[in-house]
Amino acid sequence: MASSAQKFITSSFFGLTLIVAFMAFLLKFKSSQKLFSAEELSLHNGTDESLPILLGILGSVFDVTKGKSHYGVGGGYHHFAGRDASRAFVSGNFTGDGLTDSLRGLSSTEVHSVVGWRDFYFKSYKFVGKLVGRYYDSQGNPTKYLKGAEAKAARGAQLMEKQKEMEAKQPSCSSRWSQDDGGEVWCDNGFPRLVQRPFEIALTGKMSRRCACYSEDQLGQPGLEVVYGFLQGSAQGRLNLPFIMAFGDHSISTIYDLGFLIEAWCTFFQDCRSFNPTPTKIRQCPMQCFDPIPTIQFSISVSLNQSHSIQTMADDDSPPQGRQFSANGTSIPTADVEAKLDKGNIQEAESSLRERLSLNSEEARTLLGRLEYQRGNVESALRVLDGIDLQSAIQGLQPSVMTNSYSNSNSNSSSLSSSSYDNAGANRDSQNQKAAKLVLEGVYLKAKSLQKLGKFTEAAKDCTSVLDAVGKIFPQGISDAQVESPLQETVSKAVELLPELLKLAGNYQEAMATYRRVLLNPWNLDNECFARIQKAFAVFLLHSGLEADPPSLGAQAEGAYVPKNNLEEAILLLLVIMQKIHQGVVQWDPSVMDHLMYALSLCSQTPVLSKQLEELKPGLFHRTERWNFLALCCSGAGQNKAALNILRKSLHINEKPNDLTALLLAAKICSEDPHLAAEGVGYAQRAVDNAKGVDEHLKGACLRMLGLCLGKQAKVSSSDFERSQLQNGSLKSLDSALSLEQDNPDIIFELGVHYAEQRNLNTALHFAKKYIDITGGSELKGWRLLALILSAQQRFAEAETVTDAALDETGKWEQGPLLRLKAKLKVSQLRPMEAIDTYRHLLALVQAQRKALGPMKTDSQVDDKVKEFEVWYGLATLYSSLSHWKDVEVCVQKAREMKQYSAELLHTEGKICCMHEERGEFQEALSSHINAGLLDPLFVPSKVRIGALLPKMGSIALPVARTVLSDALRIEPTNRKAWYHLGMVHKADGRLAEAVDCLQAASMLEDSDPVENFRSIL
Amino acid sequence: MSSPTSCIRTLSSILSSVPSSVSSSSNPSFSLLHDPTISAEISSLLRHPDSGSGDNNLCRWLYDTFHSPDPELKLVVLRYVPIITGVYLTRIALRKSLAGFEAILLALYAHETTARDGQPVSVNVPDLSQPSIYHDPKGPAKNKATELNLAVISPTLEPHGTMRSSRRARIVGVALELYYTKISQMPVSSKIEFCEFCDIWAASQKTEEAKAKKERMIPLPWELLQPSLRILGHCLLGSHNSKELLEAASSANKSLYHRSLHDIDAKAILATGSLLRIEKMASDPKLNVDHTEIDMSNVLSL
Repeated sequence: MASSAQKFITSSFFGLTLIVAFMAFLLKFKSSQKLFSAEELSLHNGTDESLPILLGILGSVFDVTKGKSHYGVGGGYHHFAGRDASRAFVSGNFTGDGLTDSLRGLSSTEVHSVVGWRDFYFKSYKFVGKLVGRYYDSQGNPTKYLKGAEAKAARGAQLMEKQKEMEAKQPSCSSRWSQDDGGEVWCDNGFPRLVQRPFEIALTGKMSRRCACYSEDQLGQPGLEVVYGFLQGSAQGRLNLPFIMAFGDHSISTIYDLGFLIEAWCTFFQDCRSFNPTPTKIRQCPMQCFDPIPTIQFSISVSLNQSHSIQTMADDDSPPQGRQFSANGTSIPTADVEAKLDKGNIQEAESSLRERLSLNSEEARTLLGRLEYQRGNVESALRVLDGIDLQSAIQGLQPSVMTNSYSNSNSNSSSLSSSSYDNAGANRDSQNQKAAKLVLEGVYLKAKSLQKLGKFTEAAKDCTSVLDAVGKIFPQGISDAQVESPLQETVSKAVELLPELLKLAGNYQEAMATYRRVLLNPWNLDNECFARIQKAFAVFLLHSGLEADPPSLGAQAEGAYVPKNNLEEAILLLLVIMQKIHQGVVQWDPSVMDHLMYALSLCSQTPVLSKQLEELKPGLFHRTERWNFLALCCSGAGQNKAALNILRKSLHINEKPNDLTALLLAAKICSEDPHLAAEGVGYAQRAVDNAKGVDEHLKGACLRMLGLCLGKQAKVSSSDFERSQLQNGSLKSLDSALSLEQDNPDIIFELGVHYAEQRNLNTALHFAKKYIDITGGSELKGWRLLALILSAQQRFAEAETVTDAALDETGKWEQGPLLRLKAKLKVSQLRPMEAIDTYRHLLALVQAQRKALGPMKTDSQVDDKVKEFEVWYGLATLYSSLSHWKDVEVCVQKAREMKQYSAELLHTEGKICCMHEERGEFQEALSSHINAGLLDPLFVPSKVRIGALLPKMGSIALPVARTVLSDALRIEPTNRKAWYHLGMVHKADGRLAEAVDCLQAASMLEDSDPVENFRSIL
Repeated sequence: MSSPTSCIRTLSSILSSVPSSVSSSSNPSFSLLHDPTISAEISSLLRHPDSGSGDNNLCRWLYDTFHSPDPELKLVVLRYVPIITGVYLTRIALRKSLAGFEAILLALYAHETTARDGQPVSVNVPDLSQPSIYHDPKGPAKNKATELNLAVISPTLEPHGTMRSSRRARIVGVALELYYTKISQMPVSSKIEFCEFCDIWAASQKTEEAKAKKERMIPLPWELLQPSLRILGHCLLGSHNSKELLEAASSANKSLYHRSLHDIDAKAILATGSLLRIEKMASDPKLNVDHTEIDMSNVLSL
């Protein structure tokens, strides 16, 4: 290599070579800066197939041949071809006078928009020269018109920026639009009001308003207008989402461009009264939606089906009535060719077509194949296409491009011969692409035909050969610059179709491999297409049930995350699509969110879901819908407080106060907290009232929630009367719920607890037994309830038998509460040594649990675990009842290591002191109990002890003792000791009648005290 | 019992007849799995009011077959997981001996426990600020280690020799997890049976018919519901083209959705609700445009 270069330099031709190369360079430069006349430009309007299609805007000329299907004859943007129609980019007037390059009278925002369009073409298409005329003089220098337009645009941009800045101080309303519901606006904070836009006159020459959010104290400001009428007005218009509509010079933006949308609606509103639905015009939405073109093109046809009053641009061109062949500048109707094909004369049809349109055989066959496919004659299409030797055609395409790319990579010491080779190569490249497009389209058409015939395996084979061929023709992969758009279109379709075909063929492993191959290699797909394939793959990974190997590590870049199973890969893909949606790179697709919702809720990762929902632009979901989703996410992750806060918003009277799901969830959350119970009663009552019609089946659930909330509210009620009323209400609701759902285990259990707390022990026993039957003993709490009820009935031996049975049915790790119960039952049966044994057993379990269970354990029973502290405390209490004071102190010390400040411990210490009363520690005992009361104001045993100790200080302390004991009874109305001591206080004070009542209550309760509080089960 | 032939021989003593197409098949395990006559008869025997006891021949056969070393034969047993779990759960409250069913379920549980070595199954939910094979975040990569949310989708498996009632839902749930791992090999009829049982378990909107059959709500804790929803997702959105399965799955999902509303189970509402909406969108032609279709314009040009 080096030696041949040496040879070149020393050769006598060296000087000449250099000069020619330089001239070639100059020529090339010149050709890219060509000056066009209007006449010259008009030749490039797509009618002459041999010429590139050119378009002018603000005097700049671009080659838009790669968008031929749109700018060519019959395309939606054909008006722009071969002329400078700068004004039409914003006016939406594509006829006669509208197709002008004059921007006279346009506002600065509109001029800004035209300049924006020019930038778009610079980015997306090839700049080829300038148009001599309004914007460039004969020397190619910018005229004052161009300078003026650019200055006006800059001013527009500046003003818009300033306007944005000013308006940013006052947040815009959120908005959404749907065809069915029309539009609506709202504020997450504050109230929506219409307000005059400050620079609008300068910008557009017209007045306009926008919708902004004002807080309550700002509402007095002048010039604010309530929004109601506006909403109704806009609902009458017909707006198809991916478009903007033009009413005069006003435009309505897409839903995706939210800041703009509000402005648009305001404009719309103003014009709405005089709005006449017939003379509407649509033009393409702002630049960001313009690219990629195919998607937009497609949307037009959809919108046509949806709404007839709107004409699309395509209609302006009055497309030909029947099918036509068009090639090499000639168009002929397809009718007589169709007739030949119908008779089965493929040869004849082909030769007729070749003759009349001067085509070669492959071209003619491809056209015929397409015709037959379009007519639904797929079998005939296949017969036609079989006539082309596609495989050999593909083979013929490969080598030249290979050499071409090789020569391109040569050093720039390129000689004359090399340069001329380049030109020839480029020429051949274009020829090749044309041929390749034809061949690949033929193969793709075959694949589609086979698909229609249900021959999926064969179809997949053809589709694969399209992609293989592309791989061979473009060994370096394909990129924008290399591939013309029609070829790219076929490639994109084939890439999207292949995995679908493989799935239909039942070849799942291959489909999986193909998805990965497609997604991990560049095929130059547009964003929407790529996202569609990603979504299809994610769905396949989620639901195929296939055990596929994770993607190989070889495919990844250094340090990149590689999912290790199907579910992970699916979640990753869905998150990636969501990110593109958040960034506005691809369009919003609600099903992506739903797939993600399914996957993440199955993984219990609802907080991740919340994050996704929060990132979504407003307007994609109705706000209450979004709030309700967020509340479910929070609740699914156990963040009930947060869930309730969100639900309060969505259940607000101005939102959706009667949404049954939200009401039930809110009531459920409230039913778990006595201080929220009253609020919960409201939700539950509303839920009951709304459980009608299709939601009738939820009536039982609503009544149950009402019962639970009322019961909880009773717990914190300070008046006896109110409490008993609430309790009655609770019972009534639960009873009606039960009558609707006789087998609902939850209601049965809750009634059991309810009756147990009321000391209606026989009824409670009935429900507890029924609960165990109906759940098959699977619920620990059922066993515990039964044992506690039995213990309250003083049937300790039976209670212990139940506890043992429960232990048999329970896995090792869940046995804690049962062992604790068992120990207490032993104590009650005056078998302290056995109780101590049981405690030891429990202690061993608790300590093992602490060591064995890492953070990975997410068992449902986790909250039920007995804490080590409780065991030490239980032992301390046990020893103190045996007066083993040494042991008590050891246990208390151990317990303190677990929990330094504890009402229970202080209480026990108080008791220790009490035992030493004679030694003058009476004061200490009292202060321990008082401290306990301070640590936990709801800790009843200390209050009772205080009430018991105080009278010993003499009659002066009696009123205090009475208050303390009454307080204890308010918290726990069934505390036997409290009644007893209160009775003693009354007696000491000389109120004998009261004393008798209290003591009687105490003696009645003595026979119905469970070994643990019933509430401990819940 | 180790070979398909001996397995079929034993089965022929339990069923009224075994078709010759199965007994003389070149791939007997496969025929056993897919033969409609056999599965119909086994299914109806399993649904018999007295099925599932400890001395039930068929349960014995299923138990033994599952312990054969032939993986294909294991699939035959898994095919009946929907019926076994379905009938078993609906009979819990009846206080009958179900030792036969329990033995099979415990065998499935033990199999899965061994296969997983008792380890939990977890899933990473990635943080997109770090690059992955499918994306490359723009902007400077953060230096901190990738933050992954680790989600446990199936917790640690402890060995269980007996069916303790408090672990019942978990044991059945693990049997369903095992079924799900092989679901792509299961015949459609088996999946339909599963969907039908979901409907029965949910018992969300009681029809008169259901009341007459004394069907009642089965408690559906998450450990049971989660694997069921994965199976249901497959039935609704997996790559199959059985209309019957689709209808069964759709009805099951509706019932489970109503049930989760009734139980106010947030995660279940989200999961079933999303399936419901996906299904609705899938049936809307406006949202299902075939992007692989070729250009249908009237002008046919090159």
